Amino acid sequence: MDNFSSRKAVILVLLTVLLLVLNLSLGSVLIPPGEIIKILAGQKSEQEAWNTIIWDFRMTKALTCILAGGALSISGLQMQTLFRNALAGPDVLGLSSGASLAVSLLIMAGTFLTPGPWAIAIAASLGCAGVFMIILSISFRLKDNVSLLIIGLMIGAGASSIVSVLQYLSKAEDLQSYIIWTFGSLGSLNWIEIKILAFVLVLGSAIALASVKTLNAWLLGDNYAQSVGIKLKKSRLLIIISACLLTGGVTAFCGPIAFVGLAVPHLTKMIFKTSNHKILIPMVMISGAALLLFCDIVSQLPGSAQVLPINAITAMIGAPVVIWVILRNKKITV
Amino acid sequence: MMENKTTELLTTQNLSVGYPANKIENVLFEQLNLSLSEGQLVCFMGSNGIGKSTLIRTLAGLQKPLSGKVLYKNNPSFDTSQKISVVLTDRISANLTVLELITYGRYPYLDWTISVQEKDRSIIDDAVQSVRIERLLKKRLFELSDGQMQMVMIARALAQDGEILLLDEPTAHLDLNNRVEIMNLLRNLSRSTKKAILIATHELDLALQTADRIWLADRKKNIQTGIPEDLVLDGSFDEIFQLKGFDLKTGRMHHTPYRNTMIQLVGSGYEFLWTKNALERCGFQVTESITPMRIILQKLGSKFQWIVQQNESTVQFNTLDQVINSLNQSIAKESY
Repeated sequence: MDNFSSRKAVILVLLTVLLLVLNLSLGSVLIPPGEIIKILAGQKSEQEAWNTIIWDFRMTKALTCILAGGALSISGLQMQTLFRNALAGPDVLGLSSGASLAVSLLIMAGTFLTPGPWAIAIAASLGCAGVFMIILSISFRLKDNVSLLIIGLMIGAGASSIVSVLQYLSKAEDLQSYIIWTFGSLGSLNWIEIKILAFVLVLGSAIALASVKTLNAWLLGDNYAQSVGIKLKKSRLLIIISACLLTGGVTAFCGPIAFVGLAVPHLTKMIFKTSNHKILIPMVMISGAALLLFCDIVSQLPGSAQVLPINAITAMIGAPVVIWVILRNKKITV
Repeated sequence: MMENKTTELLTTQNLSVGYPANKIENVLFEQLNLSLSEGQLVCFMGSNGIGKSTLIRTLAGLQKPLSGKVLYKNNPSFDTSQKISVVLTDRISANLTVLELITYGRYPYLDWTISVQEKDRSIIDDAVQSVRIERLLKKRLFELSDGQMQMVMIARALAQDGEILLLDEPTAHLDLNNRVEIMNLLRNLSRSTKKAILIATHELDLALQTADRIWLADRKKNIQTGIPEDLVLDGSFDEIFQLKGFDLKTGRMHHTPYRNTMIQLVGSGYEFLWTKNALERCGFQVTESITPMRIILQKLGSKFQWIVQQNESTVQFNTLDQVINSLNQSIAKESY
């Protein structure tokens, strides 16, 4: 990384820290900045409720933003590189659709009155894992990645159609709770759930970091990658496992969060003007965290008690930014 | 015949190449026993679609052979990435700088952290120097011309430091200058670095003038090998390329004298050859015996003059274009 890029990296990290502080400071309850610093430093505030708000509500939510934003962005980057397709994102393998199908079955076809968050998380994980198994068994038979991409999209389309049928047949209240799940939610995790999510995501990110060489080589296409000694099937398997852990983990706990995984890799590539994954993976992770922290601040509508769905905000903010960046750069590459 | 004392680096043993299908195998080449030796430049020729790229991919270990083996110094199990470097026809669309792309050549020697060591850097420098692209290093790939891109791809392959270099149509879509430059570069590399170089190409004239040996793919799923001159003289080229109207033995197009006019041409040197070329191209029959029409070539310093003598009239011209024009006019008058 040259000096210019490292300066950009430092700015990006500072921006993320600033957004984290803002995210912790803003909310429906106004807490003075001095008190926030005091609470974060480990001291108790006189207002018992403020301690709980900062640690058990705002901090968990901010951490979820960082984890989910980083994970989805890495996963999207991996899919874009693996398929050499600028439109690929974390959901191209059909993982979120699998999760949606499982959750919709639980909510709309199940006999439970209202399934708890753990039941939903487990159902979503099972849905992701089911699609993952299908993709994995197919990937051993296929030589080229484009077929895999199309099959992933077909699985997604098939799952969505079953969900549509369920929606058509289900009761209004069930339909509503399913729709709310699809909006995505970052604020519902407790500390235990965050620890589990963090474990899964660190594992997925570690595999992604260990794959920087193969990811770089994939950029040259199958033939050149193989000619510099990359084992195509083995490296593809690792990349798929990593993307599934990252996307599946986030979808299980936060619902299907759209757009971040597609947009952040493009934004990062344009900021750092490189395709080198040794730079891109850490930077994409930070940018994803920053974008989701920012979107979460906006969705809180600071000063009001209203909260907007995160999925509506990510695209509302992300889409214009991506369009603006593309118009300025006039060239987009994978 | 005396056997050359060069070492055979890559050999094939009853190699069959093609694509496996469910019912009938699509076999492109059968039972090949070929060899590439160090310091040798081999041009691989054959019509489009005959399987040149497929054979190159098979030799490079990117595709499994249908049967038979590819051996490196008689060893069937070797690390292709450290012995064989390739330049393929695949387009590269990634947003990389030239230096980043050339660094890919070191990947077979790097671990997962892809940290380039001092030794790798000096090998990259050598590769850049031998292709003379120092001034391109910081450019991005989409800023390069086709010719520059090929030079960069060759530098990448050199950085991989394999003893064997396989290139698939490295001169396609390039202009004559770039084609000659690349063929010369590869020619010199094979001499100076002792690499075995195989080039799949359609450039008949360049191949005949630079290759140590030719591999000629025929229509019977076989490959004939030999030095270029032997293959020209024994008619192998004519048979395979079915050169229509081109006489390979003289290296010229065949012209039918469609005008019944004999012209006596007096002169010498390459200016004589080009004048003859122009006249024959326009359908005149050129002879050295005396005819009513005569063209005398004169050299004045670095310029030429053509004197056309016909029915006691004598006209001087400064360009061949004018000569041809005047000939055309006088013929038109006669037939009028």
